[in-house]
Amino acid sequence: MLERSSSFETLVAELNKLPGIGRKSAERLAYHIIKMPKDEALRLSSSIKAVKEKIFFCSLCFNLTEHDPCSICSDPSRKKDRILVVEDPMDIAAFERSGVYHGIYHALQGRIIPLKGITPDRLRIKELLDRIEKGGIREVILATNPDVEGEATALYISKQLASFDLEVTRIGLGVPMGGSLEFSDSVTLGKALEGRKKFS
Amino acid sequence: MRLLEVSLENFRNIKSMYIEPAPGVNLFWGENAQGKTNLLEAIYYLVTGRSFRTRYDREALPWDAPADTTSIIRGRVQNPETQYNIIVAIDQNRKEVSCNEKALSSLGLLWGKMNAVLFTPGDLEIIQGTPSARRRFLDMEGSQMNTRYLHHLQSFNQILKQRNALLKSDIEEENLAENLEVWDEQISEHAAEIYYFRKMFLERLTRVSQEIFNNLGDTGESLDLVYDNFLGQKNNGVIDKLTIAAIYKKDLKRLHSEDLYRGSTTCGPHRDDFIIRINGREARTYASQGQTRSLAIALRLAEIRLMEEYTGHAPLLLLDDIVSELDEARRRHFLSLLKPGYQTFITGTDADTVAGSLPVEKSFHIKGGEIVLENIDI
Repeated sequence: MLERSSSFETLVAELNKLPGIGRKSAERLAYHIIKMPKDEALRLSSSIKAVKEKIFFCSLCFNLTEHDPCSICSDPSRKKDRILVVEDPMDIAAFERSGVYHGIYHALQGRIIPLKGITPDRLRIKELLDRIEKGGIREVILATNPDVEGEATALYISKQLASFDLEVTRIGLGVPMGGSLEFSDSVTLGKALEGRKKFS
Repeated sequence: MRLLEVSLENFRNIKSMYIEPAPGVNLFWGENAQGKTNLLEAIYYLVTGRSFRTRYDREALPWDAPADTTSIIRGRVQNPETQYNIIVAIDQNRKEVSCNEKALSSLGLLWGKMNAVLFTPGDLEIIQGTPSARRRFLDMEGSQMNTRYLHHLQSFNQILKQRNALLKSDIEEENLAENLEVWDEQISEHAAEIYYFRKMFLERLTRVSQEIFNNLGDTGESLDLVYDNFLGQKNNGVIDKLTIAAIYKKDLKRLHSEDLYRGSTTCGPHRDDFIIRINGREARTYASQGQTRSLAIALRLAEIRLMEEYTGHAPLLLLDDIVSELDEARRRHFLSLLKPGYQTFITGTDADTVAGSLPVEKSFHIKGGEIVLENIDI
């Protein structure tokens, strides 16, 4: 058994700060790192350093990027007249993986949560309005999460956009593809029915 | 619906216990403080994931147990379609509920798998207590009968917390309206659903409990349950959900500065109540002890019938120390109203607590957290 040195404790404490990592997991990871070959461990530490030095937020859409503007914002083949509004850059990654969307994005960097002191002015809503004010946008698609905070955020933005001449839409909510109606809960089914559309 | 097996480990004063209840009436008898009510509490945990005695789950742990002890309640349930294995595990820090070896992410997923109607001496609070006791009654029963109601309640409470946090923050009054509106819009939809359910539920409960109340011996007395709700008289009897939501949203807006001043939401279903009247007089102040007991029991008996109507299943009946509190006439009436066909769990101080009134199939003598004698009477 290793004697508990202070550098070990520091590493555990730092790992412990990460989301989803409790004290025990932090210790397990720390032991693992100690057992790792030195070059592998250093690669981990230098890659952490690299992302902190090289990656920042796109000044237009607030996606994660190494170049400003980001590769999506500067891609000439993208349709620049529609903005998909999401909470976090991770959501952009999800849409990109799906390959179904060819417009541009805007990451709010969070959502309205008064309980945590997150008010609309803490989000990138003003920057979204600035982008729209510059013109050329015909549609804003609100793709915040379908829970009460995400819904409140979408509502807030839609009210801010009311004075602009553009279409504001909300992504469809309801039964997931490949899912089974039988196993959907009643709330989801209710939403799906509410959001039904004409079969054409 | 039937509970086939219950086993307990480290639950309050019970170290280890295994029971195969009979499909009919089961009696737990023994002196006070031996663990009878603990057994009912454990069964209630299997149904709702909660205790009926405390908000603090860790009280389920034996008081002298080492810090790393886990309380485990296991139950096997047969309902018409399928069997469920339900496990509730509680330690110092958390509670985990699983069904058929799968952990449930919220208690809402447990609700509805099994239903129970519980009678406890604490039910007198429904008549005599504060509005919150009556709301708890509505919410516990409503959630068991209709999981959509539970969803609306949970969402309502979640939004209410956010809204109140906003009201307590140092927000400028001129920004108040645009910040509150996004919550008002959502909260009013849930409030309308809650209103609608409570209104319908209370109407049905009035009808059913009136008849039962009279059968319990208070013949000829009229019983009314009046929904004292956040809309007041403004809805003019309309119960269209969109209209209700619109009225409530307008009220919330009117009260924006009042709410800001108080730092919380002053109007809404979280303040609802229902008024119980006997012959037009409020039971809370005017009912006698005996009437209050009959009333509490009438509400629970009515609940059994409503639960069956809503869910299509006969609920389990859990009777904690009820029978001993009633006078002879009311006891006879009460037990005669418990029709056969329900799996029932009764506690009492002696083996013939319900003798002559209910056909006990299995009786368990509980002493010091153990079963010292198990009898099967056929």
